[in-house]
Amino acid sequence: MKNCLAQKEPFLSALKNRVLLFDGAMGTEIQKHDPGPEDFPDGKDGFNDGLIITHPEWIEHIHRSYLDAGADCIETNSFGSNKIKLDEYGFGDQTVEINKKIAELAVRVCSEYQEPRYVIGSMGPSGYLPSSRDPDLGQKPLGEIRQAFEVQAKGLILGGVDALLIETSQDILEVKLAIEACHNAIKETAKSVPIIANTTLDQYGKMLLGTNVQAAYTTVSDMGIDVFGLNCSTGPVEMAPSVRWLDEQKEHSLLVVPNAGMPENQGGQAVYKMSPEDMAGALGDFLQNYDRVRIIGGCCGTGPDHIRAIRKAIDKKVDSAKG
Amino acid sequence: MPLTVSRVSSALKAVDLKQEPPPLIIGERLNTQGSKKAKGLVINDDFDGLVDLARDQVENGAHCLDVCVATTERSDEKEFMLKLVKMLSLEIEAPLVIDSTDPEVIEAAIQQIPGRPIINSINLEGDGSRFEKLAPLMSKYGVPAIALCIGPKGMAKTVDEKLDTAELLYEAGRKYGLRPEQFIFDVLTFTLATGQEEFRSAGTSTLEGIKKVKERFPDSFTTLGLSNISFGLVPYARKILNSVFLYHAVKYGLDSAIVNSKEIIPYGDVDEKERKLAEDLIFNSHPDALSDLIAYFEKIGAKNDGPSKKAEVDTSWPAGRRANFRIVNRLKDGIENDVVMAIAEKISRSGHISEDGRFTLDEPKDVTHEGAIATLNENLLPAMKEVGDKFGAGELILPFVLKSAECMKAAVAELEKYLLKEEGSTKGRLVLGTVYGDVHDIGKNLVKTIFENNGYSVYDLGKQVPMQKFLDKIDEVNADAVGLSALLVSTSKQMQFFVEHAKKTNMTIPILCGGAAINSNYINRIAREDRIYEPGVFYCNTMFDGLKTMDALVSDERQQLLESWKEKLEGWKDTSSLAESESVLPRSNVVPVRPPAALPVNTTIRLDSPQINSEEVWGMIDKKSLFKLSWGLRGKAGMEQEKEHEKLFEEWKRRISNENLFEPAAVYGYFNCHAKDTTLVVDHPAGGSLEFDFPRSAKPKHLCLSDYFGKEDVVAFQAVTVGNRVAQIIDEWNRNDKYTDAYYLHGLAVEFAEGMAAWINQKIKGEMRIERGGLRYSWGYPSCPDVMQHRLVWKLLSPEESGMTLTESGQIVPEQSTAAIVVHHPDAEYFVL
Repeated sequence: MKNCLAQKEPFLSALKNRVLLFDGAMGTEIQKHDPGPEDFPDGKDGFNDGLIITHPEWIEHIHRSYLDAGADCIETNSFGSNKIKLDEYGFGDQTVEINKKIAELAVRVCSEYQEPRYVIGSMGPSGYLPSSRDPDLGQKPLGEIRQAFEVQAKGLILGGVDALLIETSQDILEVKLAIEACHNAIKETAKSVPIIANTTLDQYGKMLLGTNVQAAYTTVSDMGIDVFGLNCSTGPVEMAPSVRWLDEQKEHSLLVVPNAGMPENQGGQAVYKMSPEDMAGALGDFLQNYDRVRIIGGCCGTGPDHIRAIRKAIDKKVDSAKG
Repeated sequence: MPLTVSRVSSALKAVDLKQEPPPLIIGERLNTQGSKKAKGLVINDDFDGLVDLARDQVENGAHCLDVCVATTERSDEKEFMLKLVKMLSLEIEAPLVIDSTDPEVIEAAIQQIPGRPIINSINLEGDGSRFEKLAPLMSKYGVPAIALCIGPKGMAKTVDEKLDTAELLYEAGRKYGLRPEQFIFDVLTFTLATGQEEFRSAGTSTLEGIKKVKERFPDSFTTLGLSNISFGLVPYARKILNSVFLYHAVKYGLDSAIVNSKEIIPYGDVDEKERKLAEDLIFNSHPDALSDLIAYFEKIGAKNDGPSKKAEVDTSWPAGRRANFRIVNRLKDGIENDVVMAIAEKISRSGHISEDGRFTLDEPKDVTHEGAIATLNENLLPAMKEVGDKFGAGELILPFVLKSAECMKAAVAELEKYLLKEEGSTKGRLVLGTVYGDVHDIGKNLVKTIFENNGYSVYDLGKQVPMQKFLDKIDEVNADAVGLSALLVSTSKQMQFFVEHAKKTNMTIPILCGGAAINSNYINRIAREDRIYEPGVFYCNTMFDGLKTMDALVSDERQQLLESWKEKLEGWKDTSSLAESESVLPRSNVVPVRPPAALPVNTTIRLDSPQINSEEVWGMIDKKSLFKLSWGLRGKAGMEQEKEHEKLFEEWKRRISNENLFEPAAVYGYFNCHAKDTTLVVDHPAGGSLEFDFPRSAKPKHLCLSDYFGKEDVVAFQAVTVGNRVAQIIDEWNRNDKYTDAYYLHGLAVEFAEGMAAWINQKIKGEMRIERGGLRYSWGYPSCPDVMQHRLVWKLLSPEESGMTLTESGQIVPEQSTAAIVVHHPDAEYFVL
C-alpha cells in the first residue's frame, strides 16, 4: 500500500514535468465481460455507468488492466453520468452520489500503485445541441444543461478526482456551459481541480455544427481551463493539422486522445483497425514535433495493448532525451 | 516567439482582432439605435430580414457585426437578443459585438453565443457601476470589450483626457485580472460640424489620442464610431469626411472601426478638392475650414442631388481600357458589353447590339479565341493586379477588393463565351483549392478558368480547404498535379504543411503554388527544407506560369523540367532569411546629425531626356563593371580583349546617341522623416506617413539604416531609368536573331542606369551642400533588402510618370532602372547583416 503521508505530486505539476499517458476505451472493455440486461441496474441495458452499482469489480478490473499497461491516468466510468443522461435511466436524482462512487472506485484502484497515478473525472455530452435550432436537440434551456454538469462535477470532485475532463464534445456552446459548471462546482466544494476541455473534430477539422478548431479554441481558451484537447471521431493522422495549429498558439497544454484510426463500417459496426504500434508511432510523432502536447492516450478502438505500446513510445522519448 | 494572437470567434470561425491591412471592420447596421431599417425589422419580428442584413454586411467586408436590438417600442430586449444571436450564430461567420445598455442582456447574450463575442461597451461614467457589472464577465469568459474613454468626469475630449481615461479603465480592470488585449479603446470622436471653438481640434485630438493610447498600451486595440465625426453634415459630405478621417485614423494606429463599409470611399478615389476640404477641417488648418466645406457641399447638393461620382467611364476610350477601368473602379454595370467590344476590337470584327442592349459577336470561337485571350491578358488581369497592389498598399479596404472581384467575375463569365473549349479527352487533371483558413478565391478561380480553357479537367475544392480534402481528391481522381492558392501570409503556411506532409508520405504529385503572399523564395525554401520534394514544388507567379508548368508536366518535357528545377533549387541561395533575432540586437552607436538646411522638402523634381546631361552620365559609367559583369569579359581571354571592348564601348556610345536608343528620365525629392527603432517614418506630402522598416546588422557595429536619422530629419529618394524604348529594341533584336547586339545593348543600358543613379546622387549631394555622406542605398542589397519598399517610394515620387512601373513583387519595369534612398549622414557606410 502507498504511504498515505507522502504527498502525491499535483496533476498540473506532473503534466509540466512529463508527458502523461491516459488509458484506452472503456465501452469495448465492458463488452468483453459480455453483459446482459440483467447485469445493469434495474435491467437497463446499456447503462454502462450504472455498473458501479451492479458490477464494480468489472470496472475495477478494467482500470487495473490499463494501469498495469502503464497508464499514468485513468478516466472514471462516468462518461454518461451528467444529470440529463442519468435521468434517462431514472437515476438523475442520485447524480452526485453515483459520480462520487465512480470516482472513489478509481481513486482506490490508483492508490494500490507505487508511482503516482491520476484519476480523471470523465464528463461526456448531454446529448443535446444547445446552439442548434433543432426542434428537439436545440430547445433544452441552457441553465438545465449547465446544472446537469454542475452536479456531476460536484460528485466527481467529492469522490477525489485529480482533474475534470469535458470530452467528446459536439457543440462548443455545451463546452462553454460545462466549463462554467465545473467552475461552479469547484467553488461550491471549495476544492481546486484542474479543468480539461476537449472538442471532437471530424477529419476536416470541424465540430459537428461546423465550428473549426480555431473558433472552438478561441471560444473557450480564456475561460479558465488548464488543458485543451482533442478526442474521438478520427485517428491521429487526421488530427495532425489541428494539433499543429494548437501547438503554434504556445498557450495551453494539449491533450490528444484519438481513436485507433478512422472508423470503418463493417456490417453496421464501427471497426477501428490501427495497430498498437502504428498508433504509438503516430502519437510519438506528435510528442516529437509539438512541445505543447502533454497528454496522450486512446479513445474508441484502443485497449490495454495500445496503451502498452504508447507507454513504450513515451519511455523511449524520455530515454533518448536523457541520452 | 510570437505572442498569442488576440481573436474573437463565431460558431464557425475565429477572427484576428489585428487585421492586416487594418482596420478590422465592425458592421454598424444591425443596430436599432442607428439604423431605421434595423429598427423596423426588430419591431416587426422580421428575423430573416435581420439575418439578411447581417449577411449583406459580411458580404461587403465586415469582419464582425455590432448587434443592438433595444427599442422603446418593445420591452423584450433580452429575449429578442437571445433569439437573434442564436440564429446569427448558425448562419453568419462573423463574430458578434453585443451592444446594449443593459448588462443583463449582455451577460445572457455571451452565454447564448457559441463563440467569443465582443462587449460594446464599458466605460467609467458616473459611479462606474456598469463597469463593475461587466468586468467580471470579461474575466469569466475572456471576452474583449470596447472601452469608451468616458470617466467619472464625463467624455474625454483632449488628448490628455483620452489617455488618462484609458489608463483609468485599464487600472480598474486590473482588479478583475483583465489583460491589455481585452481592451479595445474608443478614444471618442466628436462632430466637426458645430464650429464651436471647443471642438475645432476634435479631429486632431482623436487622431493624437489614438496614437498616444497605442503607445501606452501596445497590446490593446483601438476603435472608433467613425460616423460621429461628421454628424450634422449633408449625407455626401459625411461620406467624404468619414472616409478621409478613417484613412488618417488608420495611419495613426486605429485597429478597427464601427462603420457601414458600403459608405466608405477609398482615399485614393476621393476627389482631390474634396479631400483637401475634409483634411483642412480634420486638421483644423485654417479658421474657415468648416464654412468652406459646408459651402462647397451645399453647392454640389444644389446642383445635383446625388453624390458626384469621381470615377466615370469615358466612352471615347477603347473598350479594353473601359473594361479595365470598370474593374479597378468597381463599376460593374456594362462591363459585359465592354468585354465583348474589346474582343471585337482586337480581332477587328464588328458585332451588334441586341434588343436588350447586349453587345454580341457572331463569330465562331476559333476566330474570337485570340481576341478573348488578349483582352484577358491586356485588360482584365492587369486590372486585378492593380487592385491587389492598391490593397497591399492600404489604399483599398477589403470590401472594395471584393467588389472589383465581382466585376472581374462578370467580365470573365462573358469572356468565356468567346474562348475555345477544346473537346475530347482531357490533357490532365488538376486538383485545385484555396488552402485551409483562407477565404480568397479570386486567383484560384482564374487558374481554374485558364486551365479549363486549355483543356485540363479542374477539380475545384473551393476555399478554406483542409489538407485531408486535397489528399482524398488527389487519390480519387488520380490527379496529375495539385494547385494550392493563398492570398494571406498567415495562410500560406499551409503550403509548407502540405509539402512537409507530401515529403513524409512520399507522395508523387507535383505541387503548384500561387498567391499574393508568396514568392519563389518562399516556395524554394519549403521545397528544399530537410530534403527536396522530388516530384516538384513550383511557384507560379501568374496563372499562365501555372499553365506553362502544367503543360510541361503532362508532356515529354516533364523529366527535363524536373531536372532543371532541381538543379536550380540545389544552387539557390536563400536571400530572404533575415536574422530572426534582429529585434534583440542593440542599436548602433550612430548619432544622428542635423539635416541639411534649405532643401525643397515635399517637392518632387522630375528630369526628362533634355535635362539630363548624357555626356556626364557616360563619364560616370563604371567600365570595369560593364566589361566584367554586364559584358562577361572575364579571365585571361577577357584581359586580352580589353582593348577591343574599349573600342566597342565608344562605338556603342555613338550609336546610342545617334539613334536615340536611350530615353533617360529621373525623379527625386526630399521628404520630412523621423526614425523609430529600425523604422524610418517618412511623411507623405498629402498627409499620413510611410514606414520603411530596415534590418539591423548582427555584425559588431549593429548598423541599421534608420540609425542615421534623427527625430526631425530629411531623407531623399531617387529613381532613374533609361526608358522603355531600349527594352523594346532588345526584344526586337532578339526576335530578329541579333542576339549579340541585344546582349551588348542590354549590358550598356544596365550600366547607364547605374551611371544615371550616380549622376542624380551627385546632384542631390550638391543641393544638400554636403561634402561627406549622401550615400545611396538601392533595394535588394543587404542593408536595404526589401524590394517591396519600392512601392512606398512610388507613392512619394510617382516614378510611373517618368515611365517606371512596378511588378507585383516590387521589381521595376523597365529592368534598366534603379531607385535608391539617399542618406545625408556623413558617417553613412555600406554594410552587411
